[in-house]
Amino acid sequence: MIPYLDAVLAVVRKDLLSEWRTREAAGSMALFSLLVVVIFGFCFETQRIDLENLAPGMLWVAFSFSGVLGLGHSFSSERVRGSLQALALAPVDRSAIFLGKMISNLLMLLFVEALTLPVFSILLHVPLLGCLPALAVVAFLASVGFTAVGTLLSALAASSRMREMLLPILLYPIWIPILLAAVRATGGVLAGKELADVAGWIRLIAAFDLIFVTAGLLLFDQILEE
Amino acid sequence: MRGLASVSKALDVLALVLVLAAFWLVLYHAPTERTMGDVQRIFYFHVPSAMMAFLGFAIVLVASIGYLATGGRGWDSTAQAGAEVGLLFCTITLLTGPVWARSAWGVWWTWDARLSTTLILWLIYVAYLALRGYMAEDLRMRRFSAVLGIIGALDVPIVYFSVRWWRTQHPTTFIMEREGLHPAMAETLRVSMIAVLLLFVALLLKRLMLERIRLTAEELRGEIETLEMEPPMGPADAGGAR
Repeated sequence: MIPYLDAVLAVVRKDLLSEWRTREAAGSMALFSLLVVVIFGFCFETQRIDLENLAPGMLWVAFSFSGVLGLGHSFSSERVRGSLQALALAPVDRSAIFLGKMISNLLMLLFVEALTLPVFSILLHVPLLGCLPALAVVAFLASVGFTAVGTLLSALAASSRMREMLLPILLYPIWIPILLAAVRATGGVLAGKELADVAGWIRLIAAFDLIFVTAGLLLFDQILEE
Repeated sequence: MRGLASVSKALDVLALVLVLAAFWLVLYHAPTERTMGDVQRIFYFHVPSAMMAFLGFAIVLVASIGYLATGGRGWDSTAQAGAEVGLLFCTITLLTGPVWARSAWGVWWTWDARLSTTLILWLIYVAYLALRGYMAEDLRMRRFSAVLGIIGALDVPIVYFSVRWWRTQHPTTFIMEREGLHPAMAETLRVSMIAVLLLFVALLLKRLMLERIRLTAEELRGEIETLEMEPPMGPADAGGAR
């Protein structure tokens, strides 16, 4: 097969395998996401959760919070036994490493989102079954953008003194516009609209994805260079 | 360096004179706005400050690209200075805006497109400076902050569009429409813009010079340390230490 793709898949496999053996990140991400939903359940009157305004915000806050946990882990775990240096030494294009890390982060986040959705739906009385396909599209696209910027910034934050604290500070301001788009699109979808009705937001998210995946591919080289 | 210092001094004086002149014009030359009254006068400093905030952030973008392309330390210092001075003017914008909004709209803050965009920009550049602050000062820090500088700037158009679609009902440029602007108001705005621009350039230059002095001092300190660390007895007992 194409060597570039091989390298990407090798990184994805490595990440997922080590995750499968240690079960460090996905488990705590899912648990954290669940906790956020439960906290919302206690903080707000669940009978009166507004489908178009409140519910999508809660959902995306849960995703963003647990997502940052996973992203932080993604590179701090690489630092432990110098495996990041080993990765950097691999005779492959650096952008392949970025893509691999990004895809494994994305898969983990999507897994957590898939676990969160039913719990969210049941605990907060938000009917999701009818709009699941449209919701999946929105969640997938926004998660791509989130992990693209997040992977890049996580690599960046991992070598600072404040690691876990710094990542959300760096990530959230950049993520806000797309969080906004995702929340609006999700709100539309939950209120029973078709995907075509929220096409503007979807397009904006797609543009963000495109810009930041490209930026990640181009700039990752600068971060990994030791 | 000497020449730069005198340029900087001249700029300081010029900026001071112009800012004072702009103050005078704002208070005595510009007529009172019909509907908003005197509070509208804050506008003559608010708008130029907002522009300088964007200029500062544009400098961060260009200097960050310059740094990644060439690796020159001057680019990095320029990006840092641009972020700091830009953030200062962004803060001024965010502080003067509410004072005006309180009396014009009745609230200190509203989630309007411009306000939200400026606020997000402010957060992005605080993050940029936080990254610089939290990392040891080395090659990596410079490279990383350049990456963040570029990412942050790439986000600006997205922020703008997303916030605009979110809040489409905001009052847009109410005073910049050419025909609505009294000639005395236009003159005042022009002078205050030049004044604020000069202030911006003066501050930027100061920050750059300060950074250069700091780097020189660091270099000298490093040299002194290596001189002190040199073994006084020659190479004979150099191996015995370990």
